[in-house]
Amino acid sequence: MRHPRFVIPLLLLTLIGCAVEESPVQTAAPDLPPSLFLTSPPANARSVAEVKESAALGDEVVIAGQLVGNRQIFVEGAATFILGDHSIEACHPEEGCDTPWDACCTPITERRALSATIQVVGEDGKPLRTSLKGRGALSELKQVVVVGKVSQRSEGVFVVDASGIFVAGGDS
Amino acid sequence: MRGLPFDYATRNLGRSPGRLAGALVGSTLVTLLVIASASFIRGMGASLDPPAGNSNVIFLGAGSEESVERSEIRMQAADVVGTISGLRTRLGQPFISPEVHIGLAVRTDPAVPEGRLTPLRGVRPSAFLVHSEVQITEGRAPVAGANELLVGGLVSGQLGVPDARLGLGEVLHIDGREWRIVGRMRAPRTVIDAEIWIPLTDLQVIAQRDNLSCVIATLVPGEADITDAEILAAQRLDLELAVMTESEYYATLSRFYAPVRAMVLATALLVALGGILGGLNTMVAAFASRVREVGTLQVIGYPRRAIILSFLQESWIISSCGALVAGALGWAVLDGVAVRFSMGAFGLIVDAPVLAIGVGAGLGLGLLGALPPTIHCLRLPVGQALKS
Amino acid sequence: MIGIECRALTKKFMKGETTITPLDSLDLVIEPGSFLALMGPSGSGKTTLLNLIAGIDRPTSGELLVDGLDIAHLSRSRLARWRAEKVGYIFQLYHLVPVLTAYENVELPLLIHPLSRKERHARVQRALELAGIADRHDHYPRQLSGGQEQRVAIARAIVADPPLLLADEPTGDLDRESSTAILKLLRKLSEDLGKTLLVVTHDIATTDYAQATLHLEKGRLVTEPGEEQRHA
Repeated sequence: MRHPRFVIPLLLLTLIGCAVEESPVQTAAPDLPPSLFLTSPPANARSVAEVKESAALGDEVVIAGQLVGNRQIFVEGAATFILGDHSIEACHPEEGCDTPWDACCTPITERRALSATIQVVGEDGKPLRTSLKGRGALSELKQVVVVGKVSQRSEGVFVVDASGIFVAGGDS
Repeated sequence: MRGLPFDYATRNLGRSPGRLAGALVGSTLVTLLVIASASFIRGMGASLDPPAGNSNVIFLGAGSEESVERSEIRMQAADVVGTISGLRTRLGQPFISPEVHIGLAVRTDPAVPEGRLTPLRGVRPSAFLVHSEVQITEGRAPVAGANELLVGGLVSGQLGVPDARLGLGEVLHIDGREWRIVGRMRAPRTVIDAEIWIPLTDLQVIAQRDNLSCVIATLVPGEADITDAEILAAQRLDLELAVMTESEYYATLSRFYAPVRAMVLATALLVALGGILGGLNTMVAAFASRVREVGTLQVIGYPRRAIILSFLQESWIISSCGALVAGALGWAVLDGVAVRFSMGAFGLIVDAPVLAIGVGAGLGLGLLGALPPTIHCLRLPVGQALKS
Repeated sequence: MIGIECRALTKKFMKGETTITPLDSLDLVIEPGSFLALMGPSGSGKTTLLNLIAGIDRPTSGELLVDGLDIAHLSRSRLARWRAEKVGYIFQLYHLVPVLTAYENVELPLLIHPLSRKERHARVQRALELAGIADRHDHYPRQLSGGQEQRVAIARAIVADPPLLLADEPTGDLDRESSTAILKLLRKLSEDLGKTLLVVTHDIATTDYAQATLHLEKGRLVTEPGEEQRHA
C-alpha cells in the first residue's frame, strides 16, 4: 500500500501527464555548402530505380526522383531525406492516407525498394546536423535531381552523399 | 451579530435517521465514484507515462507506430541499432533490447477452455538494462528453453486470480504448455506491471515468428539523440524502421486512449450531477419540513445568512463524513487494484491528488446540493412560512 | 417601554384576481406599557396587524411607527436586527425548535447578541423562572405539555428583554387551566416588567387580564360608543 504523498500537483497535470523531454545533443546547426542547391537541372539524370540497379559503391551518380514514399521524408535535425522513384504514386486525398507523400497505397517493401537515402555530409562523413526541409525550396512531393556519390551500398541500402541538389520549381 | 449555534446544525441531523443514513450513503457513494474515476484516469495516465529521465528510443516497423503489438521488424535490426555511437553500455554490454510483444490467452486452470488475453513480452537479459524501472522482487529472470516465466505485479488482477496463485513455482498454461513462474517483478505505474516476461526465443517459438516487434535502445544524453536514430532508420530503408523516443511512443498511446479517459471523466461528471440532484432532493425534503422553524428563527431576529450558514453546516457535516468514509475506503480498497483494458492492465492510483479531488468534489456537492433548497426555503415570506 | 402609532395603515394582497384588504386605513395609537387584547372574527386582520407591528410583513400604504421608528422602510436585515432587540413574539403553536432543550430554545435569541456565556446563563435562568418553567429546563419540547411549551415560548420571547411583546393566540391551543395560567403570566410580565403587550385572541377570558380590548372587523377598528381610538 502506498502512502499518499503530500505534494499536491494540479489536477491538470494529473490528467495530462508530463512527458520528460530528452536533452538534445548540444551541436550548433552547421551551414549547408553554398553550392548545394543548383539553379539548373544537371544532365544525364537517371531514375532512382535505374541508379539503384546499376551504381556501385563510390560511383558518382545523377539521380532524379520525387520526395515521396515515406511518412517522414526528412529527418528532423539532420541533412537527410528519402528520395522515391517517379513510379511511386502519391496518394489521392480520397484514399485516406495520413499524408499524400506517404504513398501508403503502395506496399512498403515496394516503396523502400524504389527509394534511396540522400544526405549532405560534413567533413566527418556524417550527415550535417540541420534539416533540409524548407531549404532551397525542398519539401515533400517535390521533383528533384541529386548529384552525389554512393556512400553506402548493400542489400536494400542505398545512400548517396549529395554535392548538388536541383529542385524543380524551386527558387534557389 | 452572531449565528446559530453549531449544535443546532448537528442535532438537526438526528431529526430523521432514515434521511440522514440515505444522505450519508449517497454522499459516500458519490465521493467514492469520483475517487474511482480520478484514480482510473490517474492510473491509466501514469501507466502511459514513460519513467522519468528516460532516454530510450524505440525502433518499430514503419507504419505500426501506434502499436508495438502490430509491429514486425527483422531480427537483424537489433544488430543494426548497435551501430549507433552513443548507446549506453555497461561492462561492454550495449543497452539494446530486442523484444516481441504479443497478447496471448493465459490460463491458470488447464480445464478452462478459454484463457485471459494477457500481454506477453519476449525479452533477452538486456531488457533489464533498458527497462531500469523493472525490479525483480522474488526469484530470478527466466532462462530460455526451460519453460520459465517472470510475472508482473498486476498480472493476478489481469488473470482474475489471487496474488498467491502466481507465487514462485506456480504454473501457467500458455499455448497448450506448462510454464513455471520463476520470478516476480514490479514496475509500478507502467504497463510492464501487467505483463508476463518470457525469454525472447521461447515467445518466438510460441508465436511462430522469426522477427521482432521492436528494438529499444538507451542513448547516452549528450552523446546521441533521436536524430542519430532517425538517420539510421533513413539509411536502412531495407529494415523498414520507424523510430521514436519512448516518451513519444507513450504519448501516442496516451492520445489513443484519450477518448476512454474522456468517457470516464464524463461518467464521473454525470455521477456528480446525479449526486447533486439526489442531494438537492434530500435537502429539499429535509428543509421543506422546517419552513415554519425557519420563519420562527427569522421572527426571533436571525438574519437569513445565519440560517443559510447553519443549513450549509448541516449539509457539510454529512458530505464531510461521506467524503471521509469514501476517502478511507478508496485508499484502502481501490489503491493498486488492477483494471483490465485492451493493452493489459494498470493499477488504480489513490494518492493525495486523487483523494483531494474526491473529497473536494464531495464537499462541493454538499454545498451545491444544499444551497438551492436553502434559498428556496428562505424565499417564502415569514408570515407565510409561519403558517405552513 | 415602547409605543405604537398606526396612521391610515393599509395592507392589501391579491388572491387570484381578487384584492383582499385585511387592514383598511387603520388609525391606532398604543401607549407604551399597555396590555391590549385584539379581538375580532377570523379574517378581520388581527394577525396581519400583529405581523406588521412585528416587522414580519410590510404595509401596502400608511405609516407605522414603533417607538417612533417607521419600520415599514427598514431593510430586511435591519428589520431582523430591530426585531432581535425590540420584539418578543409568542406563537399559538409555540414554534419551539424540537432538537433543542427548553434551556437552549430560550437561549436562542441571546445568541444573536454579543453576550458572555455566563451572562446568557443568568438571563435564561431568569426568563425560565419568570415563566415558571425553570424546573423543566433540560426537557425537549416533545417531553413537555402544551402549557409548559407555551411557558418556554414566553421565556424565549422575554429573554432578550424586548420592550414589545406580541402574542398570536397564545392560549388558542391550551385547556382552560393552562390558558388562565398563561394569561396571568402575561399580565404579570406587563405589570412587573413594563412591557407593551399586544395579544391577538379569540379567547374572551383574555379581556379580563388585558387593560383594554380592541375589536377589528374587516380591517377596521370597531369603536364602542364614547371610546377613543387611543388605548390604555
